[in-house]
Amino acid sequence: MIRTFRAARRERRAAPPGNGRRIRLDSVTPPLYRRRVQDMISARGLIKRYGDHTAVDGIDINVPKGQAFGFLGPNGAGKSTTMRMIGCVSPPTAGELRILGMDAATDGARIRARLGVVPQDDTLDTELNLLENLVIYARYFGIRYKVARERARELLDFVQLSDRAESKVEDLSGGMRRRLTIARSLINEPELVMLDEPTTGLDPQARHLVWERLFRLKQRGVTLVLTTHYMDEAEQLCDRLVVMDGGRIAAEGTPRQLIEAHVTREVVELRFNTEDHGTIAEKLDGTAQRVEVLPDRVLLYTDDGESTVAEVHGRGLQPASVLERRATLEDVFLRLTGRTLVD
Amino acid sequence: MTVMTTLAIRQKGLRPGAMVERNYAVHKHGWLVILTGLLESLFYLFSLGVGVGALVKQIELPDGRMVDYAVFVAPAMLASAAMNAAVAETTFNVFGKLKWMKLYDGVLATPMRPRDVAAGEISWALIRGGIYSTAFLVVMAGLGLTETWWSLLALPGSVLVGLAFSGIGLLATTYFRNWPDFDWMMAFIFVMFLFSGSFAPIENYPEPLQWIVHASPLYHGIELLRACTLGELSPWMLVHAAYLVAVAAVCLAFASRRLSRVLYK
Amino acid sequence: MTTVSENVESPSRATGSGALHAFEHWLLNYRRTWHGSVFSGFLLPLLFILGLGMAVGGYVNGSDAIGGADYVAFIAPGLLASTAFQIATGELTWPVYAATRWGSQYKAMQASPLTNDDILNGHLLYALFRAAVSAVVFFLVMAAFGLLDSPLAPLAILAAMLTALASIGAVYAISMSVKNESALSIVHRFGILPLTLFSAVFFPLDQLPLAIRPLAWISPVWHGVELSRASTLGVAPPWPWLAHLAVLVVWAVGGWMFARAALAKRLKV
Repeated sequence: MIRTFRAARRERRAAPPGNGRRIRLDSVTPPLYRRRVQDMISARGLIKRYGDHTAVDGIDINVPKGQAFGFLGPNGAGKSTTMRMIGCVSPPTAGELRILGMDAATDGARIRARLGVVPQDDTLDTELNLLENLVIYARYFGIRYKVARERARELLDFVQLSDRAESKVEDLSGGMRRRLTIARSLINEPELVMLDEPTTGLDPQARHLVWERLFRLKQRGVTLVLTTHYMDEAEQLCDRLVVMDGGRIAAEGTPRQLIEAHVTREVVELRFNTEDHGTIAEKLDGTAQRVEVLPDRVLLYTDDGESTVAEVHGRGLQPASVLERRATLEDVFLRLTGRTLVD
Repeated sequence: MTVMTTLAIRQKGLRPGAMVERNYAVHKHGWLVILTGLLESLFYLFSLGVGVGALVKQIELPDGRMVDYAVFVAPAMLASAAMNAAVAETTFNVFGKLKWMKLYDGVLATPMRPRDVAAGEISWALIRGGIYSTAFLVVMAGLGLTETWWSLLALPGSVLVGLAFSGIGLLATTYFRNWPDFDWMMAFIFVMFLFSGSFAPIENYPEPLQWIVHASPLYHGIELLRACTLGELSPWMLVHAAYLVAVAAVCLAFASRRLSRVLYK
Repeated sequence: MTTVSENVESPSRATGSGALHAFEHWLLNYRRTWHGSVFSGFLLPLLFILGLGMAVGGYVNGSDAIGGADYVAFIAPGLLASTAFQIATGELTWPVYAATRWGSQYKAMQASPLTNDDILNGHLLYALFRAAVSAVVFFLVMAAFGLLDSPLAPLAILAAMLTALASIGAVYAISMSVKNESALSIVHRFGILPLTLFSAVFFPLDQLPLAIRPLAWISPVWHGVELSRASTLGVAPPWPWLAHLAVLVVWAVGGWMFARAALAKRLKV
């Protein structure tokens, strides 16, 4: 026992800047310490305040190695702020935040050296062309020029922008910019990549290309942390996710777990040719586990859509349209964060 | 262990260098703009030095020595060229990157820290200013406006002027909100340009004004460079240099802290 | 907004007063940003007078090279004209560039019943207005300093306005045609600045080497400066005043035609 503690201390002293070295030392790391290292991110009671406004209000997160972890939530839920804190560019007001086993408050530069970041608004260097963007960015990491150039070429290839290497950033479409930003975030071969709304504003083709690239990263064992308000994106990419609302975590789990815990398996959407949804709701009472009345339609949350539809018809109701579908994360999301517009 | 330490140190040393590299990459195709910056200061030298000098002819220094007016004004133009280069780089350019291009937000996601950004931008400003100053000094020598070989000292002297003003510029930039703020800064710079003993020894000024002028970093820069190009070496040069270093140190310390506060939100 | 709806109701009227509507647009903009121009239009020339007058004046007051005048009285009318020039052209470099490349002001105007000429004249008119304000204010400062030695002095304002008028067309045409923004800095440093520094504002033209003087002879600023100086000092200009005037008129008309062609080319794209 004493021996292992000494080994741990030696490890902590020797580990700092190099990445290669850490892997070798991992073999002598005691189990207790290893568990902490394997948590790429671990936050306890994380709080961020701007003046009177509390953007993040005491959240706990654990992201193990290799996982794709998602933050869901409406605008202003605190997702981006959390991402910035994890990216070590926004000091937490209170709480503990450890990233790659290091303290975010004191080891910012060393953590960032092993992090890839895709910020919400790209922050590309508009005065440089694509290739220069990647090479110069690599230089910020202290990567040797020759290596930087090689990696830049490879990464342009990876995001299918090789033919635009000499273009100006201004001439790129939104999807291309996003891909370039993703390529840039990989220039230091990071163990953890943070993506803040990676596909917002992209057309379907561009989104699918980005998803596909992210999926390949995941296969390579890179840990992904992303924020999104596209539920399909979260379902596609995330192993585990948290729903944030008002700076707090409203729910946590795998997509499937969240659906099971917060909504039913299926949803039936009914539209009627009448405005009088109140009376209809009364008649529908008891047909499903939960009935939600919206201005344009009525939602029935049920585990068995078919029999619910039969029951609706059985009660003599004649909806103009009936849609039977699986419950999605979107239903969870709206359930948890409400339907009122946030902006 | 030692390998790791040296690696770490070298990496730290490289950081501001990457910022310089970035600026070089941007400007390597735009040398024309840099060249025109040099010509701008030469235009002032020709107009207010040589042109007005032809009217004034000779001027008496406080110690009674007579020199051509252009010889008297040229080092002041050199100092203000160094000032302008430093200020333009650390205000307009840095502000653009900070507020419009959001460049530093991207840079700070790397191991770069705000103080690395500050050091990098200042280094770049000094490199650019140093090029201007060297070329300016060569033109001065060509026109016969340098009196001695001591004029070579004006080069490190003008780097010192650049250092002080890039500190001032960077600090000011962290407080700027929008372009009208720059108008006031330019006004300030221009007032200094006109009233720092550029066109006449400040002994000609009214007494209270003289005292105010003593606070102007440009005044100390001009006196320092003038002592070099006129060959009038004196211990006062150390005072002037020390003042410039002090201004630079104070401003840079504050600027770096301010930059952290602005960028690490 | 009201101007546009008025135009829609009576398009025939719009053609006559269209330029004024466009002018009004820029004027409304100015109401929000005028304080920034206090420096360039008023403080800057004043500081030149104080700074250079105080420093250099002691050495050259009454010298023959400047016709026996005080140095301040010599440079003030020159600054009057060159400031009008700088203000007017300054208003037509970045703002014109921005209005067609970054902003949508020109697009919006094009979508209204304004003709190209209206858009052009409106913008030029605004530049002249800016120049006029600074010229009048500066003239009053000169009067306060007792720098007006002739009953014909008010003509200096006219001379300053002519300087502006002679330059705006050409500058507008350049700003409209340049490919990128850095070309504008070059225009500024190679055009506007040397024109200010070498057009006899700070020293008479005969101090320049003979080889360079022809450059000043074709510069609208030099002619404006000389006319302005002749007015306030009550002396004869170096050339017959009609000759000075003729050069300025040629610049004004030629510049306007260039500006018109450049605008047509840009808006067609």
